[in-house]
Amino acid sequence: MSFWDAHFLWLEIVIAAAAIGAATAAVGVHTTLRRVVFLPAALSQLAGAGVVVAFLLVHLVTAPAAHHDSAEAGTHPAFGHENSAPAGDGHAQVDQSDSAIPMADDPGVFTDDSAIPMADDPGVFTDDSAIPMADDPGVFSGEDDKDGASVAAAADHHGGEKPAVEAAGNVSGEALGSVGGSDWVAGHEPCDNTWSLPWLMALLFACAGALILGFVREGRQVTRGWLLGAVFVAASGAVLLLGGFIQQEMHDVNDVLFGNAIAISTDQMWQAIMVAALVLALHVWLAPLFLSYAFDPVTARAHGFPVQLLDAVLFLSMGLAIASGTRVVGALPEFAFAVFPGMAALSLVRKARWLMVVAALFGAASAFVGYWASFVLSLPTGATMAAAALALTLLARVAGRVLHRS
Amino acid sequence: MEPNCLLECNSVSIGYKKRVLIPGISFDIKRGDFLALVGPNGAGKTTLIHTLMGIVKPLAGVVRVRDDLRIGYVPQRGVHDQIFPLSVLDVVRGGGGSQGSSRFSLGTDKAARAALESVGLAAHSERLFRELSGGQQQRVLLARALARDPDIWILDEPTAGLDVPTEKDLMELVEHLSTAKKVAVVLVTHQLWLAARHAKKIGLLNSERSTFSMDDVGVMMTDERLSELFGRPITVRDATGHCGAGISTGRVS
Repeated sequence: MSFWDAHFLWLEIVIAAAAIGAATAAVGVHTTLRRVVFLPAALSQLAGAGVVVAFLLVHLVTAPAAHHDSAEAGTHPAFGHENSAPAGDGHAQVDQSDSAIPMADDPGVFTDDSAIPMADDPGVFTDDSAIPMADDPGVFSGEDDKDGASVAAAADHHGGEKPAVEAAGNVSGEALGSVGGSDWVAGHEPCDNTWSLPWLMALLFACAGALILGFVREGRQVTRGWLLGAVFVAASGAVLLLGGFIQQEMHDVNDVLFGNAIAISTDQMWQAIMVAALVLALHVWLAPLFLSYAFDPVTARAHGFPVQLLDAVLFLSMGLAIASGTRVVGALPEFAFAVFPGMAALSLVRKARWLMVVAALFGAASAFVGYWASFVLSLPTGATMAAAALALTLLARVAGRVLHRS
Repeated sequence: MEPNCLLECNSVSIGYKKRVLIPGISFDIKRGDFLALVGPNGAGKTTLIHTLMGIVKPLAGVVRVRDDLRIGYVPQRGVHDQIFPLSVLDVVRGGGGSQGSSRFSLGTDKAARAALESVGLAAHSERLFRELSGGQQQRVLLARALARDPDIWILDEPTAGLDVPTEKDLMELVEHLSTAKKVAVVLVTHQLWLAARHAKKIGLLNSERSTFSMDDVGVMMTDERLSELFGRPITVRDATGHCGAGISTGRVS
């Protein structure tokens, strides 16, 4: 199956990634111009810390029994609604049987009503079924961690090959938990935590962090760079340390933290589009002001511009875009979208009014090219998106030199 | 406030983080005034103008301004990051709109082009600001302040780093425009000859003694005052290249 034939596999995630890539790139222009390119990295880690705190809170206030029950029922208490991940989901299996490896002959796992799709279920598998073969090493490998989840998982998956449920027994628990058993393999809607507590906490942490880091002033000993590094390390450490208390939920944490570039729900796609549209609209409207006062903040204040309000809007939009982007595509590509397209635009454009537009186009293109490369080359999606952003930026640098020399 | 008064300082203490640099500053600025602020490094000149502009709050006292007062600020050259690909027109528009415009709006193209015309840079409006010479950049910043149709122009060392002919041209332009548009000027400078040549009044900031004194140029520009200000013997001739008699008449020609 060609990339285009498999469009039903990637259309939603690519639309969401392109939208969020465009928004992040527009925001990234400001991080580049203000020389705070590590701000997005710190914010994505803060978003992760928010997710972990949310899960920890739920873990603390929910009775273990209730938690166990809800896990069995496919409902995660943190999400507050039914977890649409299939019953064959990795963590559900762990909760149920203490085994990460669901056995096909385990009636408790694969019943007639099992969420694991049966090959002969026309509602799940089309002729060109995208469901991967479980024994396909390109699909289920231990390397398929969340951030590195490869479109190969979706790419090898074609040609009407029928899934062999019994082969699930060959899948490592880790791989099943991270890719196969979770959102995508069963052909069901992914874990639909679109407006869940973890997501809202991620947003809260990222936006609060953006405001605090944006407004903090450099001192004689504490530079902004140092502060960004400190926040990055502290937030990363908090994720790992607090994560130790909620090991059963870490799969969901990773899903929210690093995104799931294999598949997202339609609701999540619309959420990403809405966030991107809001951020882009704000930047189209306010970009000239953002640029003017960033260029000369003292004069802007002297001339009566509402600098603090504008800064708050700018940093909130950064938090919004980065928390959303981290969720959709993962921390690495999100950081790449915040860094590279802005530089590409600065290389090409000599008129400020086009900076955001060109950066946004580069962000969207990086998402698409990265996803396409992941599909064609069977490489991890997050890494190919980051590599695509870098490659496009290098091309832009070369093109910019040629254009501006003439 | 008197009807002609644009800004009034009443027993204002300036400083940062509760550290008072100079207490008890009192003066006012009227339409058509040309005031130079002079003092050694760290004396508080920039702090004083930031206080006048409302960027820094006074530690004591009150700064009163006319209700619809418009300030045009010209910062020091070299404070702008060269990474910004802003055209000359973008920079001038970035100073904001004139009377009655929203706080969220930039200046109009028309006003920006008119201001550029008045500083002789109309032909450069589409060039990148960062590609201009130092003197041209300062003229663009003057145009940015001018485009707002200000009541007071506050210039923070506008000629720092410029060669002598460019410095002279720039200050003549400032004086010409301030006279033509009846704009009050507050000039911060280390170059005493500029203050002596163009200002009507001079304010001396002495951080050692924590004092501020202001009067007509002829009164302030004396060997004794300058020596006291800089803590070493300095004559008016040393500082300005002109003898004291020339200065005492008011403005050096």
